[in-house]
Amino acid sequence: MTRFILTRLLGSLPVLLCVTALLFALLQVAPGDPATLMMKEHADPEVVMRLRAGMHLADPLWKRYPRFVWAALHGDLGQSYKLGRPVAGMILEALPNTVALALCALLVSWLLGAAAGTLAALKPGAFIDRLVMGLSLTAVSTPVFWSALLLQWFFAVKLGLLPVSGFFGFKYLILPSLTLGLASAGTVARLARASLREAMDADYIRTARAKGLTELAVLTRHALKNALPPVLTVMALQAASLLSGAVITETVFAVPGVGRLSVEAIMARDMPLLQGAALTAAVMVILGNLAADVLVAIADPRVRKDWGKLL
Amino acid sequence: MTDETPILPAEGVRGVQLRVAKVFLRLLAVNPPVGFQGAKPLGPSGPYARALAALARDRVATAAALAVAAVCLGALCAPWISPYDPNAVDLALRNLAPGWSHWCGADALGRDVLTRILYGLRVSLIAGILPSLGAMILGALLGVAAGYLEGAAGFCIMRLCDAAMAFPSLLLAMGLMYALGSGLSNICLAIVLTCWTAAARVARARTLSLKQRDFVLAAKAMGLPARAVALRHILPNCLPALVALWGVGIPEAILFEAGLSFLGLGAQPPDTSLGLMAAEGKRYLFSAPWISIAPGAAILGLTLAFNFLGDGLSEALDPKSAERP
Repeated sequence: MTRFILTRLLGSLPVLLCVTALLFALLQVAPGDPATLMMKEHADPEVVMRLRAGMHLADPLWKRYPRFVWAALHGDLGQSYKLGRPVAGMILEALPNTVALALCALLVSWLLGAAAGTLAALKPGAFIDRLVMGLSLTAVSTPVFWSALLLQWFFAVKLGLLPVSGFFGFKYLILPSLTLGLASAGTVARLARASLREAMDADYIRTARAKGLTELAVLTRHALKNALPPVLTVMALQAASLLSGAVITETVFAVPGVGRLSVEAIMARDMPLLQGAALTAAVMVILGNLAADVLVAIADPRVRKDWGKLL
Repeated sequence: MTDETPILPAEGVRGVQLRVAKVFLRLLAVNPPVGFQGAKPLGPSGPYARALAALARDRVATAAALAVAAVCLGALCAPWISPYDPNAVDLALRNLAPGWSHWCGADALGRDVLTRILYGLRVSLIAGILPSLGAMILGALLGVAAGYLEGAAGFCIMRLCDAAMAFPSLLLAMGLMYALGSGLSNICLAIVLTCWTAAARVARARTLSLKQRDFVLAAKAMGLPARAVALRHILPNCLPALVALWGVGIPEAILFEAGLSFLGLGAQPPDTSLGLMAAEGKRYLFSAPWISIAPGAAILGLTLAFNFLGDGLSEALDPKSAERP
């Protein structure tokens, strides 16, 4: 298991390098001179020139990118242009909030999505099936900011049950994670339904029924277990879209997370902060994919056996 | 995609276009003009004609198509439908609640919300349809190239694809907007450069399997240059899957534009966009929730219609479902 995780981590390094190189190049060609941006208006050109030299802004990209990677490996992501604080520290402060939000959202989407998908798959074509499919398509079609505003308006403004925004404890996490969870619950429900319906058609289900198991036992002991791995695998690809949603959710609910940090970085044209946030997001997606792979292996012994062959 | 019947009939693309045109006419209950490429009885036989016929039988998809058409018409005819100017400021109507004269109320500057929604839908439609088409074309060309060429070029294209997929798409688009600057054309460009990956993967997978098929081998054996084989024989056979993907890509692109504009990275204030309207109304969520809720509901309606249509389309274009009665 450890060997598999290490191999996978090593394998994802080129992707990570590729992502950061692309982003680095993209942000460096963006208009606007950072040195001028950092100084106030009408700054002494002499000072700006010295600052530019200190930041190595005149160096070509192929010299600056390795320097960025080398510094990043040492935990140094540079200084925020706007606040003058080390970017790594700002990200470490924001990261737990985003992780907590993402985990709670995953919980919501799995509870809702798996339950709805199972209900729909049990009676294909029935009213409940069509209802779940319609609702899941609605969930996929809803703009994240709209469900955020709607939940905010209903639970915080109309009913006054929950805080509107901010982040000071569990109560503040409920609405954001509900927003983010609902967005991916639709996808989970559709996947769970498709996967379970395929599992229900398998020979071993007929065998299980033939030996006289109750429908409940067939479902819980045979069908669900076999339907789980494909859903887990595809959900790994959702890690990236979950973070996309987190950017908007964090902005609406004023959660001080990595997503909001990146929006603020763009608004202030704060390049090191944006680079740091982007790097963090890429690492989070890769770790999310890895976690999904490990979960699939735990759920499916056949995959574990295949690893033995691979390594 | 496991079923490998050749999708284009012998007469090629031109023949399919004629068949599609004929079925269109039949759907509109118009008889095809005499001399319209022969007079044999009409039956949906080409893949696209069959798909269109299947789509017409699908009641949900038909309703969705009608809804999309209605929205397009409403957005196009906004100046004649609405009695108000979308930018006419009237501070007497500040945050007016929805009523008979202003169906969705008025915003913080007294502008009619429904009128602004109609104008905002134009942006949503443009940002939905054009970039997803562009992303499909870009992805298709890169995917077919990656599948057909293999070697270093194919490897590079697919690693680029992996890298783009291993990254939150909204953040990537935000980075692009940072580099490009705001504006509708830049939003469209950012969406194209972010969303091409799915099409590239599908096109590559299709190409890899089509490459081994007899008709492609025959075309190669006849001495057709690689570019002609790829463009004339492989690309047309990837098209049904790509068109289905386009149907799913449109609502995605609409949501993308709305999200970017909501974050303040898309359309800028004098212009209107549904995402921007929702962001502007966010401050008045307590006193005037309709300012931000109504534009969001309009986006939901539009994406929902496109999603139902896209669902029907992918079902109709799936060769497996075509064999079903």
